[in-house]
Amino acid sequence: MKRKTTRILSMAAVTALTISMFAGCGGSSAGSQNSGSEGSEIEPCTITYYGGWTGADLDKMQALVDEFNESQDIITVEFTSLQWSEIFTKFLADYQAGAAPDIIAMHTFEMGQFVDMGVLDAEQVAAMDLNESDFEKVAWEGCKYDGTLYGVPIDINMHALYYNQDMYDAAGITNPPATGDELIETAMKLTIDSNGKNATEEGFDKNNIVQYGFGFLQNHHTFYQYYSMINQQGYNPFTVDMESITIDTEKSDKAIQFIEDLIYKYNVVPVGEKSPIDDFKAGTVAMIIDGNWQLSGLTDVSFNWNTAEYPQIFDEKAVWGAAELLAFPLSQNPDENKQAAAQEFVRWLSENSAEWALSGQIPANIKAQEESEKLQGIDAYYAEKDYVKFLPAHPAAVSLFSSKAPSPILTMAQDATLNNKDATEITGSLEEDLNTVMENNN
Amino acid sequence: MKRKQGRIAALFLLPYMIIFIIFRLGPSIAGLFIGFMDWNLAGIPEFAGLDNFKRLFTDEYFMIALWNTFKFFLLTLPPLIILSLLLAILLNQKMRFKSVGRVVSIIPYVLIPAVVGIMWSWMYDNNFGILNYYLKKLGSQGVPWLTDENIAIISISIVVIWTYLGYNMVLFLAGLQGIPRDLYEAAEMDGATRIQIFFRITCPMLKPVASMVITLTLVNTVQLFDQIYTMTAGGPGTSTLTMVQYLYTTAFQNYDLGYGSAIEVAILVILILLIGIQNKILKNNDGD
Repeated sequence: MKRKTTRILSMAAVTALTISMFAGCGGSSAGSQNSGSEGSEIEPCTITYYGGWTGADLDKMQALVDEFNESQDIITVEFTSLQWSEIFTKFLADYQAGAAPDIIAMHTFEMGQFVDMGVLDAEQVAAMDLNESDFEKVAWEGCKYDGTLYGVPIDINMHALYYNQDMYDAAGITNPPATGDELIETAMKLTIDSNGKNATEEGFDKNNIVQYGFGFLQNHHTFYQYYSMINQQGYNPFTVDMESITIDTEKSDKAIQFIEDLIYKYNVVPVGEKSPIDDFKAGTVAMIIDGNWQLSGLTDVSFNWNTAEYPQIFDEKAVWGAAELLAFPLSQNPDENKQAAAQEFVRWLSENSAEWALSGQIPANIKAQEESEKLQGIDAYYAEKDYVKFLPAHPAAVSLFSSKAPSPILTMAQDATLNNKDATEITGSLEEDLNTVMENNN
Repeated sequence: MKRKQGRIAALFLLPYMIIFIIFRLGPSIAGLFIGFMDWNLAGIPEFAGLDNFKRLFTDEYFMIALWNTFKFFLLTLPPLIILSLLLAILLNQKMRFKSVGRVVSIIPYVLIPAVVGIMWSWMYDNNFGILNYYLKKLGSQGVPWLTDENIAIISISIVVIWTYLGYNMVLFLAGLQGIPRDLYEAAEMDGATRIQIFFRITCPMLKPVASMVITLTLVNTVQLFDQIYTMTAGGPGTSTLTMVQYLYTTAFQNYDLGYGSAIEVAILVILILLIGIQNKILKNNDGD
């Protein structure tokens, strides 16, 4: 059995070696380049890079990869991008087949699972000898697991408030809401029925609303808002090493109740809203909560708009966010030349991520931030950097915070937004479902 | 001569058989073995005995998915038999534009299921969808098509019926055209009414087709995924979670390949059992 395994491994090694020779990393004399690591030279080679971007983000990332490939003739980056869950499946299948990519992009909360699987190489990140001060602190810390840096942060995403300035002007509203009460009041003034009456007026017909004051994604993003709101109460039971969870009912209920009231008490949010950004663009919703990735898609709308910080509904400022990072998968057959090339590309991408900002992202690299052209509406997001709260990189985070059923957070979100269930009951179910996932994961 | 023909036939079948073995049979057998493993796709599979299969019996989500799949079958089967048969009878009459009607009926079936899901999810949109737009024009408050736990499963069933109606119609049409004309002529000469002819000749002669439609509906229901994935992702809550959607989430989102494979084996066993029961019932009926 052992002999057979050795034979298979030898064959795999020979195959990998053959492939790498034909792939162009076998010492062509086309030139060489300093890797950035002290004294080492990179021989011409091709490296693979996996990401999960689609739409406009994908175009921007592809443009950056093309720019890098054209900027030099030593390293060729082959970029593949699918939806996040699909690219991770591909990554793991390729890893199992001994053909893992040289670089993989992911979000901070997804990192814990891959570290737990043992497929990420922290040594390559350490070999880059990065300066912590060159990066946004929150993004830098988000790339750590158990004190070790497993990736290079490239950007930060957050929720913020988008508002239609023309609708504000028509309703006589001068400032975007900064608190929960202001949010309700503003949203009510902007919610208008078919008779032209707003939700603050006598005789308002809640069954014939033609313009809603407020909107948000009624899926896992509702849980992200819940996460913002419990953090605003100085409370966060979600930790990277939790084996079970007990949720403070009072604080959780307050957050859930606020969300439910917006929809069912004040009638300012459409029930079952499917795509707030499309409703916002269509002029049927005056304000929405959404992420900075939507900014680049709002450049050609026909009305005036702006963004504001996520309202402070409870005691302190807090907003959900995440960072995207580039990590290096472990290789069964490490090729130092390709590793150096991968590090060189990641360094280049980090330093040149100013262009990445054109897709609405906030570069994690501070120098790139300073160089980046500021998109309209990005200022509110920049202002939130100091109090953004990331979900923990728990080993079971992908299941705990899944966007597809069965998912504890999706059930919680839909029970609140679609079913208007009792807040305490929702809290209890959320706690139970999260504990079931963690139990199955252990 | 026969031997030579056999060899030629085998040669023609060879490309398909190679593809079938590599992409169907091989993975299915591998799936059975993986069901006995604890494997997250990245590491080395560890033997877990019957743990994954035992878990099926205590897993609340699997039971929900099983029950939902059964509900989809119950909701879609009667319309898919009755409506497609009526449509086939209609399009079997001598009438103008019946060719156009046949083509139009089959179009939903040839559309990509994910596209169908996306298209209907926009039509079903609570606030700005076309269906609620007209319902509101008529004075209704609109229907929470995909956002109500009890209605979502019905809404998706309507899409499934819309998708497969034309295909089943073609099957019934073929069955209708295969019934010998002299049976009808003999019945008419004996003075049978149209209803008597329908229930005494048409229905019994269409039994094999109906059996096939039931089997196909069963298989399609158990395999229901694309429409669910694009329209509700299994929600609200778990109200439209089906077995294949659960398999997908378990295996390819949570990377619990062992348990995912156990679900796959369970689906296969359930399907074989149900088709076996159906064939038994139909055979008994034939015997009667």
